[in-house]
Amino acid sequence: MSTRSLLVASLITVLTACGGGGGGGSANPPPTSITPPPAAQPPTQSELQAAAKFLSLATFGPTLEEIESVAESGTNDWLDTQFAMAPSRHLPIVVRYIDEYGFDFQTMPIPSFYRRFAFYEQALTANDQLRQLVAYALSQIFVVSDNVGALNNDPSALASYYDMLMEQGFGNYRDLLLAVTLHPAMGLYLSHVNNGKSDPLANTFPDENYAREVMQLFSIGLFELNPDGSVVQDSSGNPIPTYDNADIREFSKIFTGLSYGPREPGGPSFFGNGNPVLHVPMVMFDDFHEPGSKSLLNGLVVPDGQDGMADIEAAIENLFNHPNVGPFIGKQLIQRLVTSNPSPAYVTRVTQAFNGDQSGVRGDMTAVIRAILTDPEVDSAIRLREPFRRYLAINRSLQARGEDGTVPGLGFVAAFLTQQHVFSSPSVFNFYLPSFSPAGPVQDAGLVAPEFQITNASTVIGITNLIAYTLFNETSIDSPEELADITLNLDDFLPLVGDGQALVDQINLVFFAGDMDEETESILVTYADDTFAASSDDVLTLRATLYLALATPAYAVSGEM
Amino acid sequence: MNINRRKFLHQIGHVGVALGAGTQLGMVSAAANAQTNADYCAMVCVLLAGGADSFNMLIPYDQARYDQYATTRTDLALPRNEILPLGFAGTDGQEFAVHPGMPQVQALFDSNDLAFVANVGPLAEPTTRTAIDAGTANLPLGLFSHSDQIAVWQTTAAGSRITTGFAGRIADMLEAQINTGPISMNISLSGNALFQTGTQVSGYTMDAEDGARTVGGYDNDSFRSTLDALLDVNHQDPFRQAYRTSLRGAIDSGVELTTALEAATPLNTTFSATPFSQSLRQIARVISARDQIGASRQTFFVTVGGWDHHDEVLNNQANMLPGISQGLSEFHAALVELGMLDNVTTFTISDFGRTLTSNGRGSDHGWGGHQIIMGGRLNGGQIFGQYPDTTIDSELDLGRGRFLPTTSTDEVYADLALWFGISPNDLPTILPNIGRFTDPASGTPPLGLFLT
Repeated sequence: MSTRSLLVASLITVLTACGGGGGGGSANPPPTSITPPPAAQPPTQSELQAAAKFLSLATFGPTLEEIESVAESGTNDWLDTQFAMAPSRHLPIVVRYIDEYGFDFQTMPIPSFYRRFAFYEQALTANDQLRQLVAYALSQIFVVSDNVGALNNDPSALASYYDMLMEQGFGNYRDLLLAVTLHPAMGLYLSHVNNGKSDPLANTFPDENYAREVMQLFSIGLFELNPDGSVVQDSSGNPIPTYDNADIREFSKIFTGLSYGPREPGGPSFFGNGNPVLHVPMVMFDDFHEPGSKSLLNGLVVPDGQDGMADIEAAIENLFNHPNVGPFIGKQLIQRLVTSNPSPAYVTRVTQAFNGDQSGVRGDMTAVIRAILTDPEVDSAIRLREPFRRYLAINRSLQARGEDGTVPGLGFVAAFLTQQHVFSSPSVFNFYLPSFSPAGPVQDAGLVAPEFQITNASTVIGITNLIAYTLFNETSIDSPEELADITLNLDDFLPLVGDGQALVDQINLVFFAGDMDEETESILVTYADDTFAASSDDVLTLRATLYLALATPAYAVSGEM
Repeated sequence: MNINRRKFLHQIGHVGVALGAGTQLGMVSAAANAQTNADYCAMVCVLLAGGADSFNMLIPYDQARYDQYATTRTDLALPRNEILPLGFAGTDGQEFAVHPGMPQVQALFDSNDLAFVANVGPLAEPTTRTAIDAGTANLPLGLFSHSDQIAVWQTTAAGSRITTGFAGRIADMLEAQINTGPISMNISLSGNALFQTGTQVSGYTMDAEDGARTVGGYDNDSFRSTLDALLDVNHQDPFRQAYRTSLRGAIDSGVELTTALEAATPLNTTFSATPFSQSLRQIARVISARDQIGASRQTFFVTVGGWDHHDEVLNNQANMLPGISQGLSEFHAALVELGMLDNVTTFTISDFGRTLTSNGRGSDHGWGGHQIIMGGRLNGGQIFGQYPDTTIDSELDLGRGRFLPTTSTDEVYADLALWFGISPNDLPTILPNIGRFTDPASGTPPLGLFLT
């Protein structure tokens, strides 16, 4: 048994010792009565559940208060407010930690932790939840990873990358793709930083890495798509590739000549700089940019003699205008935010939003996001909740905080147990492929379920145990001992212990958006009532009931067919 | 991980005691577990994810061919006086060496427990550069793309996208016959592997560090009975049903495997702390408990990621290849200790080989590459297949030193399947394309990797 399993075992044993001794039940105070709702038109249960559903898709995990608020104000108001909010940035939190603890890898907390602290603090406490979440979704499409040492060690790298995704995530896709291309974290990750022009004498050629992945993963994909996301077939029924290796070699010439920008504004920079500057956009050094014309997609030829940045702008524009982008990026965003298997009509609606069919503006990300989150199919959305988002949801819905309001989370335990953590993908292909379908009932039904690609015997137990640690530990998020322990706020649930049905109803609303099936509900109610009767420790009863509820298939899968 | 491990131990002071007791459980006398290896075979697939630059793992060594290699590779060429020559003399004076960081691989090769397959890769059918240039060749889908080629190496169905892998199809055929316990014969140390996915079998997963995981609290009666009841709920929704099956199976297999491992004789062989070595240690432990587990055929899967060296290929390989070499040698020692060297075959796969030419700092996506195979029944100390002429624009060069493979993945897997006990008649079920490369009914292994 692992250390962690033993930990939970010991906690459960404590629970039994409390409950198993007998005679504890009569010592319990009567359940605290619940404050009656205000007299003026309280939201109905179905309005509350619809709000909970929406917020489970659009935030890292709603609190009861937020659910009640959206049930009254409606989702469109909430979206308007969210789109208007300025981003709560991560880099300033990194700077705050540098000011407080310095930049010394010999003392705790070490600097590479700071961007993790920034992520947890903003994901769990910031009000601009939609922007934080959209950036998180984009981080699984425009993937960079801390498994590259330099990106892990310099906290400004991934903090500024997240800030860039937040900024551009509510902007235009064209600017997003350009900002991704020029961000030094991406330059380092896909090796187009310090990528020089061909050298015929040395028999060297431009690096093809970014040229390939910007097309395969960040913009158009491998095959021509219809607006509904389906693959176009030729007369023989075969898919039509969007590019070939000759195209890759042409695009590889485009992405030459970039190196790190100046560390301080106005400071020096030069091509070939091996000392990464990871928080300001890369800059072009035309002497190292491949000369000559380049043949891009759909017949576009960029002329000889143009400077390097103009080449890059032209290539981004070339990709941006490819008809694949709407369905390719739109469908993946639907999968990240709402449902694994959007209907062709749903994808088409999002493609139309991307294409600007109504507004005339192509690539407007807020239009895409609004189309995704307000689509009628949201009601019937089904997907396996990402393990990392289950972890975040528990911590956000239960308002995890340190005493000083910070949340210096590390996430190492979560990553170890679930094989998932923000910016810790094993490769540029993310944690799972959009097309993954697990053998068994999902595949038999002709459906895909990307998140099942990281669901296996090891991680399915890992996330179950992670839920237990989060609920039972003195600190709900692993953080360095030197910093504040983080605790959960159980106030929305604790008064209901003693009334199993009311408690499970509340869990069903806040965590399940009302999607708990009746059989699961009845088993949990019995457990909550029995444990209450046997135990004098209401907090332990609550934690154990929550643990069981959140370990179920009914919670793991958002929605139900 | 260290910090957070310390923190856990700090938080639960008594766990140290419990852990101590856990290791005691392994101290069961060897006599209590008489093992049999009369009919046991295991294959261990090591995926070097990202496309390892294997032209710097197995390098031409005779002067003429080394010079050609160095001319093409320019700044990526390893110095001839640093690479480790193999005790191998091929036709026409061919000699080879391995990367300087792989002395253990050199030694295992020279003692005939290891071999290489040269210029192997996924092929939809035998083809030529002429046909490819003319656009008439039937090619693997998504050539040069990571996600496609990493999949095709596991499905070995190069012309199509299918959802089952080589070992998954074997398990679909064998699992019910040869496995008496609840633990799948396909075990991965690196999460879900397409290689091991069948239509019925999806495989079991262990963690390199934790081994078989178990759910915390499951030894508590009221908790267990409630969780069991929750997992008995029959869901109509296929996602919920799939999750239920996954968690239920994981709990049952974890309990079973933990018990089996506690009853097996502890290994004396020590393994390095790297995830690769620790994964191989877990595999060796499972093999040591094979009788308790009750499966006479097993496959294992381990991924070692980070081989996409567009940048800094020389430094990165110098850091990473020694760990592969060391891990293989430790696993070899453990198999010798268990008396199972003849029963286990270990081999590498990787997305693709890489361009021989440089991009100034690294190499880009290619096709054919070289793979390691290790085992006691191996016709070891050999280079199987054909090492290509490394001259630029040679007959197999598709540009920048991307080589058309001369041996298909199907041929390697056919040899492995026959060794594993798959009958020649069943080969086309396991390897749908095998008829394009060899006559499966002949029963003759296409490469002759194993001693007969």
